[in-house]
Amino acid sequence: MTLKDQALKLLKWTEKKKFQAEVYMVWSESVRASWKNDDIDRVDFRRSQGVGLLIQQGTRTAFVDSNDLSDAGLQELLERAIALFRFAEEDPGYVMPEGPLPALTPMKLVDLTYKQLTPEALVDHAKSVVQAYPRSSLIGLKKGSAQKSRAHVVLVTSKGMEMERWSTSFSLGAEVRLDQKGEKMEGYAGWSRRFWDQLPPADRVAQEAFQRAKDVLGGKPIPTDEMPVVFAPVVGTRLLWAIFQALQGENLNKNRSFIAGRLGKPLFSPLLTVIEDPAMEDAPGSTPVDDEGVPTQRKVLVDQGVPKLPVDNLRSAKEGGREPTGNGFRSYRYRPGIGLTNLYMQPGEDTPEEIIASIDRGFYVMGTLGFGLDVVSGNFSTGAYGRLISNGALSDPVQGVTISLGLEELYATIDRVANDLEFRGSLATPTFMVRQMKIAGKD
Amino acid sequence: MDPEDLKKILEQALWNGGDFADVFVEHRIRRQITVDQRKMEELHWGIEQGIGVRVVRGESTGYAYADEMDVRSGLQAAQAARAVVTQPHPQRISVTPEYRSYDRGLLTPKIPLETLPEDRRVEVVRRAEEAAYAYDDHVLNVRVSYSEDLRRFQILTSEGVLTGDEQPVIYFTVQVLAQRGDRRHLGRKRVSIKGGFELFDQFSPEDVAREAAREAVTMLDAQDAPAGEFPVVLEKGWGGVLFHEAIGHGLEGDTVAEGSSFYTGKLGQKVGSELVTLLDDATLPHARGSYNVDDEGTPSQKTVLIERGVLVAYMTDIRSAKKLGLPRTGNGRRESYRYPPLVRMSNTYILAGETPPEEIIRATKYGIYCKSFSGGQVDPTSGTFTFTVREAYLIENGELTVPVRGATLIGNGPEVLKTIDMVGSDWDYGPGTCGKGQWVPVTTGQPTLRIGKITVGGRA
Repeated sequence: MTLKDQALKLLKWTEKKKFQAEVYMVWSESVRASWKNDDIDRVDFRRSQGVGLLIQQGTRTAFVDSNDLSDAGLQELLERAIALFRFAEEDPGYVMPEGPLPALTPMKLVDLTYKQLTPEALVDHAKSVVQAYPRSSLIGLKKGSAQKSRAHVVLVTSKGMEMERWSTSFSLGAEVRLDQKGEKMEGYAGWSRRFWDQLPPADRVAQEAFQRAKDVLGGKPIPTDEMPVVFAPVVGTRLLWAIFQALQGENLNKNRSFIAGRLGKPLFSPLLTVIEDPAMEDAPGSTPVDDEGVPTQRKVLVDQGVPKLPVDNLRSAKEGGREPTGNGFRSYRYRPGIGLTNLYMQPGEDTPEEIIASIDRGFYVMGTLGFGLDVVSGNFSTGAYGRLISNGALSDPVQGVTISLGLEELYATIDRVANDLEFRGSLATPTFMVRQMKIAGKD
Repeated sequence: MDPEDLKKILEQALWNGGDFADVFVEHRIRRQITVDQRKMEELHWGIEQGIGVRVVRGESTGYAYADEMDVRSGLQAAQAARAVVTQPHPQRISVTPEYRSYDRGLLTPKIPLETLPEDRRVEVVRRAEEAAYAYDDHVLNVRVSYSEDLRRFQILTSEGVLTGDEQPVIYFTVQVLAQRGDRRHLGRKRVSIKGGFELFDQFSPEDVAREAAREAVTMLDAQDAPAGEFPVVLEKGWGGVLFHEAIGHGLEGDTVAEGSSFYTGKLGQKVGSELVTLLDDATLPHARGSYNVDDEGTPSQKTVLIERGVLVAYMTDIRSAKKLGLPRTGNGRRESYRYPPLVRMSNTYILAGETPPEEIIRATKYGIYCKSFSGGQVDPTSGTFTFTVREAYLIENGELTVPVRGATLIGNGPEVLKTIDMVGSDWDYGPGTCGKGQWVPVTTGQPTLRIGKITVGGRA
């Protein structure tokens, strides 16, 4: 019996009990190998499955989930849902996905070489990352990892929605620890893609992890000061995520976003353009359809400093009086949330070197500690490490400082954006510079 | 699952040899009730169950799980996990399961959750919601969350240990958003128990709600925190999270054995102020971090880690204990059958000292009094941390004056431990969930104490 047959069976049982239903079922598998120093570190196999069942009568709903997909398990799940329904309240925000599924943009999500990549081959790839580190007496610990995974998702509802999606993804990672005179520093690098052959070569992954650790090894705090701050690509993605959060329809509806009520206003720097693109070949989040059967679309969320478009799932769109945008994503364990496909900050024309060369004294952030982002209040404050910029060049390593600024002011004072955009995960920013931030270090 | 079936799966896992193996079978029922903006946002019941098989060879671990609860899936997982044994030494390894119970009643509920009528859960959530809205006109929104997790597991190890535990846990959180003009603050109070519904006899839903609302409303008057280096007083309770993050993780045997910890090779050395005694205790009755037996079949215990400033023990699981040549402390924990165990903390706390807490404030000319943190992060290798303070006050001339906002504490764990110069005679602990690639329930605790000098990132 296929996954879809099982989902339709549960739907039918639920309808027999005089409920309408939304059944979301998923099956997934992944194999990950990691190599440490001179032996296998881990080999992990995961096989997961699960179902989320939402039942509705009138405008009341209840939600239950289980990973027991046997007939008896599904029966119990349905009984529980009905028992819980007694406490269900009016749920006017709920929108049941309605069929038929619209025509979707053809998109390749499945790598047909998935099966050829055996666990043994993954072990070899993980090992080749470890063998690709530069020779250095500083290395105290070196790791490499390679992973493949695939998923099959099914959505069926009482309103005729039938959606099925298959996808694969692959990743390659490196993790190294450098030791120098009692000081330790770790460096990471990782890429993920829908197709194996889109991943970078092992030596690039290893080299980047090594360089990230080496660049800040032995870093010290600098005196408390204000100065321009340059964000390296891997760090900037956190600030991109904060914009996405602030634009989530649910946060706007609930007045939990610093952008609430100010869409369409030029709040940020004209250099800041943020785009969600679900159809990129070289990014891992690509998909033609979200988990609620809504087609995804390319969207300019922030256009030259103007936040324009909220991102919505069916619920937040209804509650906010907007159209859904294909951003309903979920796990079977929860009702749909608001998620993304591929999100990036539009690159500029400078090279990162040109940006650094333009700064007399500044801070080049290579990593942060902690989240430190508060989309309610709009505060941004985080521990950071990186390099001091001195007379237009990277100089001393810096660790143990805090950088802070109001989020809105930060986005408003992005003065330069580099041309080095590259997707590692599904979020990407190029290098960019913020005019001035407070850096708390040594007194 | 029938012990004979567990035995079959385990023997399949060991088919090619290996140093250690275990089979972990788990079943849990989770409930979640959330109200937000006066609406029932979530009303949820769920099942999670499956089998995890681990095979260890030297430093290498193979781990496989399946979401299906049958013998066939268990055998398939066993075959996958043993891929880590690259040079097979086929030998029939026979395991003789010997059932052991380590249940000392540490978690036994007074009001069991299995038979609790559903409406009792909805009722506590609604009571908290009402009390928070009624607290003050500036309360803009109230979010109340009730989570329940009835966890049961069985484990069979290649050492023949067959055991298990029942670990029911409730987590109750109230978040209150207060607003006045353009000033906002999100206050929070959390309570938790490993046990039953008697949680609400200890903490009434109204009291929990009012505490969250008090924080939210009080902090509307907050000024921007000053930046610089000065003394910081941490109030008793959940503030211990700073030591959990910045010290505790460095005392976890896997990190120590890997050489990634600042504390590697420092057993017996003085690592902190003499005022500091740090423990990990998984046997505190009904505490959120407690258990009768850990997730690899080792009974739980109380472990003194730092005694009067001297490092005396690390926390271990089976693997790290072997590697370090140290006793097993029963700290092998996993989020679920989907993960192999790691060395994890349970209830981690600093013991109370002798100074009355008022005395500590009085002795501080200028500094910050931290009542709660919103979160924090630590670089485990260097011990460098950043913590964001949620509720704090300025200390001026030995008195708490105004609330301050936007403060972050930034420092180095091992150094901070040496600069603790006053330790209070009071004590409390609070619940949390610790992430180390996997999430497990924990508590952290401490008396009111003072860090002599630390960097505060503020905005004033």
